[in-house]
Amino acid sequence: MSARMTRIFAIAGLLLAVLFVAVLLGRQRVSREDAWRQIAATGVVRVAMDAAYPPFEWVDEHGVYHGLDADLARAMASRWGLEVAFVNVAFDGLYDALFARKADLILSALPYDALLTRDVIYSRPYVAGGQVIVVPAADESIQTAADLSGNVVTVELGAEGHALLSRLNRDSGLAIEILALNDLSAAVAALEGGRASALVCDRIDALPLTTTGKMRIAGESLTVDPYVIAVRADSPALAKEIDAALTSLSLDGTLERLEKRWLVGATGN
Amino acid sequence: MAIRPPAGRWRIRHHADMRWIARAAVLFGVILVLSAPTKRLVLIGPAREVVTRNHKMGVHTRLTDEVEEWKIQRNLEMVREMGAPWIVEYFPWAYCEPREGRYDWRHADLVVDHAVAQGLTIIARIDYVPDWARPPETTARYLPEESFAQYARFVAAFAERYRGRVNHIIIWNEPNLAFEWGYRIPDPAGYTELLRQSYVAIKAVASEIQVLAAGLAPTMAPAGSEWGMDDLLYLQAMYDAGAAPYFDGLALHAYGFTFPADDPPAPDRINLRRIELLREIMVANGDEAKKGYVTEGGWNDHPRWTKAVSPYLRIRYTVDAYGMALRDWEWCEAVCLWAFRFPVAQRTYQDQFTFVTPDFIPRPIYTELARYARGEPFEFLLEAP
Repeated sequence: MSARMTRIFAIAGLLLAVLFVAVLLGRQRVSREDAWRQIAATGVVRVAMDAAYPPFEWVDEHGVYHGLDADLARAMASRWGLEVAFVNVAFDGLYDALFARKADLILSALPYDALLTRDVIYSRPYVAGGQVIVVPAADESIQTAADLSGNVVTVELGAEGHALLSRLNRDSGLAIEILALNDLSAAVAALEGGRASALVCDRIDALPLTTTGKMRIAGESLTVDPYVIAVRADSPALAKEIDAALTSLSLDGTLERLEKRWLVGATGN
Repeated sequence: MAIRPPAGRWRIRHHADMRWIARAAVLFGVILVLSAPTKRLVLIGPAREVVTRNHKMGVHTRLTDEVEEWKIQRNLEMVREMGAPWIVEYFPWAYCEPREGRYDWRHADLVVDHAVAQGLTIIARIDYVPDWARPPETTARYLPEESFAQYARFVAAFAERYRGRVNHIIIWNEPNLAFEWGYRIPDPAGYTELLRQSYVAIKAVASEIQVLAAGLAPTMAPAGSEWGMDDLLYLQAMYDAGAAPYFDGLALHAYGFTFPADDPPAPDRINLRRIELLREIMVANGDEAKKGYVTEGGWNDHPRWTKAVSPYLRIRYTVDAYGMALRDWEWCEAVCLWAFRFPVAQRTYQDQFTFVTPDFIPRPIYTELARYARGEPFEFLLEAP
């Protein structure tokens, strides 16, 4: 081997060694800061939520947390053999609470945000919101947004469903006759009384309407808002544990029971 | 000594090469033009005026992350068309000075140019700390005291650039919340020092600019709370720390939550008129000549948030609030409610604060406020305006 080749191999070897050490140090840094290690050491998982949002989370006068998210946090912690400490933070402060290490995770009817995926790791979705069509149970004619065209469709004045129907009329060429009423109960009454062929509202509002058997959710959701759990980007081990717990809670029926208890059977406090 | 090629041959080859280079350059240019993303041509247009019967109406726009110029323009046009002459806009320090001393005003220029063209009066809120001005592992709301001078230098640079077009600057936002103070215990004396340095720096370059002390978050956080400090106590503590000479007006955050606009104020109640208690503190400290500016506030109409009201009530209360400000709050210059429109849907209850959707569909509250501003009959509300 020529002296020149020897030099090249020596430099390449040195660079590889530096790279190896850098990767090793990086891995150690991540594992040292991973919230999962901290949680395991203290036996407590700190869950940030804006507890003013039934049926997902709210806190009563005794400081007890209720709702689907609160129970989901307890179910995950129980699976891990840990205690839960709830950290009540206004919604716009949730991410900063996570970054400032005031909490280990956010579980607060949190929508996935593609803009933040460099800073946080999101779990798989555990429940979905979004706008849906509600029709009388016997009605088979309406399944999609296009089917609404030419029909009277009721919404709550100013609600997201109202904006959605306005958008469909403007951008998709539909001719939906929008019946905007002052509150959701008036809109439901309009559907029940035959003044409207369908109602468009949030899935979370729609689920309790289906319990009597008189109404049902038609077709696919018009919009889908999956709710997810967020951890800091430096905590991949915690993210992995959360996904594993969600999978397990889904397989054993816990997630379905929680949804039935909090979303279908009750509407909060 | 250089050897030159024979003149004739060289000239011929040179000309042939130049022709090919020119053709390639033209082709490259055509490809470049054709492959460039289409961009809507946006002209600032002639100066417009806001037509309204309530000169205190305003909104907090949220154009910070709005990328497309036509959307910035359309957003501000819709504010004018609604009849609101005032806007509050957020100019994040980290966006405008990404590296120390290296300013990037491009986006701020767009917002200011279009707002001025629409005849709007701008109140600028400035915070959000760049990485280089704070320690690692801190949030963008964490401003260490050693960086106060850098913040002051920035707000002065902002004032100098936009003087004559932006005449009101808010120093920081809700420093009585731990979240807005970088998850530290709120510190009225510390904030007062930031206010002092900023005021002195701004006045040195543009003495006519109105420096507003930060809007405080309405909260009844108990003494010693790690999350926040009661806004009434915080304002008095600012005065105690010597803040009075260092602000020309006070920004106010006036949220109604579940209460109507005329719900009476009380220290143990968070409602719209709580700002009257802040006003009393100003007067008690000899600041009755200074004006107040509502720079955030209003109601939310999300179906599940416990601090929201129905959309119908939100419209009713909002109309009442603008009317009350005009009629009863002589000391209040403007009422800018949160938030006119977000560039993208938040998909949380925050969306239900807005007047217009991200794709510019006016919500009923927008339609009704536009009618109120023009003195026309309401479309949804039962009462006459």
